[in-house]
Amino acid sequence: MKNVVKRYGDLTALDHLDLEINEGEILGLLGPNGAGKTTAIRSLIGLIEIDSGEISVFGEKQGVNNVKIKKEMGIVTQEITVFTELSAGENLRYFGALYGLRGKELDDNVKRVLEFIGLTEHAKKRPKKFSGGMQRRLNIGCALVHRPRLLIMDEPTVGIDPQSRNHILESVKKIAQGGTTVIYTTHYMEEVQAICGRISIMDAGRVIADGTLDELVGKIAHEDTVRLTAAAPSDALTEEIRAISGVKSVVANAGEYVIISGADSGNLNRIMEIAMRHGGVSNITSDKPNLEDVFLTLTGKKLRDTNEGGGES
Amino acid sequence: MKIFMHYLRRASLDPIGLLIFILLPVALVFLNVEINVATSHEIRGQAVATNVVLMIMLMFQLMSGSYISEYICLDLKGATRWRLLAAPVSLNKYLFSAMFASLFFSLLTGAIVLTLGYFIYDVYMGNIVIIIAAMLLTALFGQFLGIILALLVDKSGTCTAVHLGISWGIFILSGFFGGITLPVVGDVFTTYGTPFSAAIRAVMHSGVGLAVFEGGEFVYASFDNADAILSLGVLAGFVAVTGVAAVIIGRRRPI
Ligand SMILES: Nc1ncnc2c1ncn2[C@@H]1O[C@H](COP(=O)(O)OP(=O)(O)OP(=O)(O)O)[C@@H](O)[C@H]1O
Ligand SMILES: [Mg+2]
Repeated sequence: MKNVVKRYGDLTALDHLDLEINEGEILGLLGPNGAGKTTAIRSLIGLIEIDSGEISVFGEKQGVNNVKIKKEMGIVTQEITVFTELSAGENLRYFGALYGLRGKELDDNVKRVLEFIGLTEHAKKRPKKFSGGMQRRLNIGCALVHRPRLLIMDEPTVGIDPQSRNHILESVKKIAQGGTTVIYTTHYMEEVQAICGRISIMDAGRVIADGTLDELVGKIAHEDTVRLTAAAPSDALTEEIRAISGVKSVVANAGEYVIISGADSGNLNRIMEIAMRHGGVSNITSDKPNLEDVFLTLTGKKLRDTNEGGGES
Repeated sequence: MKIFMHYLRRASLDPIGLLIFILLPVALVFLNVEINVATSHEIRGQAVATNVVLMIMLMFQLMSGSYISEYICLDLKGATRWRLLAAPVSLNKYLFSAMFASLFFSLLTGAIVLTLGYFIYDVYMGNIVIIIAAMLLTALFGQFLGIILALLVDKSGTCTAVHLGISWGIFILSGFFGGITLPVVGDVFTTYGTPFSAAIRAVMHSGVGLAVFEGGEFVYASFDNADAILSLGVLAGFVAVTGVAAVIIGRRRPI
C-alpha cells in the first residue's frame, strides 16, 4: 500500500499510509483504537474505495471488486461474524462454498479446519452454545477453509481468556509455517512480540515506525524506562520530572508514571528524589524499553487506555 | 444457488418465522372459515371458505416480504457485511439470492394455504393461472417493499414493524374492514388503487367472487377475464414502480 489516503467526511482515517507485506511473513499491525487498522485492511481487501494512493496485492493492482485477488485472501473480522442459526460445520461449509469450493474438496477442507481449530467434536453444534474462545476460533476457521494465500486477522483475540488466546497465537504461527502470509492486527503488544516477524506501528492513519521487534526496540535502546507509583501524584510532580534534562517523555495515569529518559544519565536518582519530596513513592522500577515504550516514545500515548483517569500529560 | 439454499435453510431454521408465516395463516384460515360458516344463516361454506383462503393467502404474500429486510439488515449492514463482501461474490448476488429465497418462502406459504383450502374446504379456484399470477406479483411487491425499507431503516426489527404497518395500512385502505369511500379519490383504493385491492379484484374476477347460489349449488356464472387481467396489469404496475424505486434508492443510498 503506497501513499493511501481515505477520508470519511472531515476525518482522515488513512493519512498517506505506506504499508508493505512480504510473502510468507507475519506482519503485526499495531495501533490504538481508531488508528485506522480496520480501514487499512478494508482498503487492502478492496472493500472500500480509497481517495488516493495505490494498493497492489500479489503483484496486481487492487481495486474494489477485484475478484481474482479476493479469492486468495481470507479475512477474520474484528467482530464475530458467523451465522448463529447454523452449526459450526455448516458455517465453515458456507464460507468455503463462497470461495468456490465444492464436493470432496469442500468436505476435506472443512474437516481439516475443524481439526485445526479444535472443534471437530462440536461441528454439529451451533455457535450460540459456544464459549467466547470457541466462537473466536470458529470465526478464524471460517477464513481458512479456502486456504488463502494472504490471511488478514483483525484483532482476532478480543475479549477471550488467556488460554484460548495462546491457542490462537499458536495457530497463527502454524498457519504461517504452512506458507500463508499473515497480517495480524491488534492492540496487544505481547501478541505481536510473540508471533510477528515484522511490526508496523500505526497511529492516526499512518505508519509511524516499522521493523523487526529488535529494530524497533533498538531505536530507543539508549533509553531507560522508569515506572513509578507516586503516593501523591500531582501536576507539579509531573512538571518537575519533565524538567529534568534527559527526560524524553512522562506519561502519568492515576499515580502510575512511565518516564522515558536517557540511559545511564543518573536520572533515576533525581526522579526518586523529586518524588520523595512530593509525598513519597510506593513502587519504582527501571528497565530497558519494550515495544510498549517504543509506542509511548513515538506517540506520547499509551496503546490502550488502562483507565480513564489521568491520561497523557 | 449455494447462497439461495443458504438463505432458504436459515429461513427454515427460524422458529418464529415459521410460526408466523406458515402456521399462523393456516390457523387463521381454519378459524375464519369455521366461525363464518357457523354464524352465517345460509350454508355457503364453500363461498366463505373461498374468500377467506384467497384473502389470507394474498395478505401473507404482502407481509412475508419482511424476510428480505431482515436478511439485508443482518448480513449486509453490520459486521458480517465485510466478511461476506470479502469473498469473491458481489453484493447483488447476495441480495438477489436472499430475495429469491424470501420469495420462495412466501410462495410456499401461499401454496400451503391454497392446497389446504382446496382439499379441506373445497375452495373454488376460478382461473388458477390468474390466482397464481396475483400471488406471485403480490409477493414480489412485498419483496421490493422489504428491500426499500431495509435500504432506509437500519434495524431489522424496525423494518419488520414498518413493513407490517404498511401492509395493514394497505389492507385497511383496500376496504378490508368494509368499503371506504374517500373524498376526491372515491372508491379507487377499494377497487384497483392498492396492490392488495388490485390482487383481490383480479382473483375475484377470474371467476371466484362471482359465484351465484342457484338451486342448491354454486354456479360460477359470470367470469370477467378482461377485468381480471386489467387488475393484474395494475398490480404489475405497482410491482414495477416499487422495483424501480428500490433500484433508485439503492443507487442513492447504497447498503
Ligand atoms: N464508515 C465510517 N464512517 C466514518 N468514520 C469512520 C468509518 N469507519 C471508520 N471511521 C473512522 O476512521 C477512524 C479509523 O477507524 P478504524 O476502524 O480503521 O480504526 P482501528 O484502528 O481499526 O480501531 P479499533 O482498534 O477500534 O478497531 C476512526 O476514527 C473511525 O471513527
Ligand atoms: Mg478495528
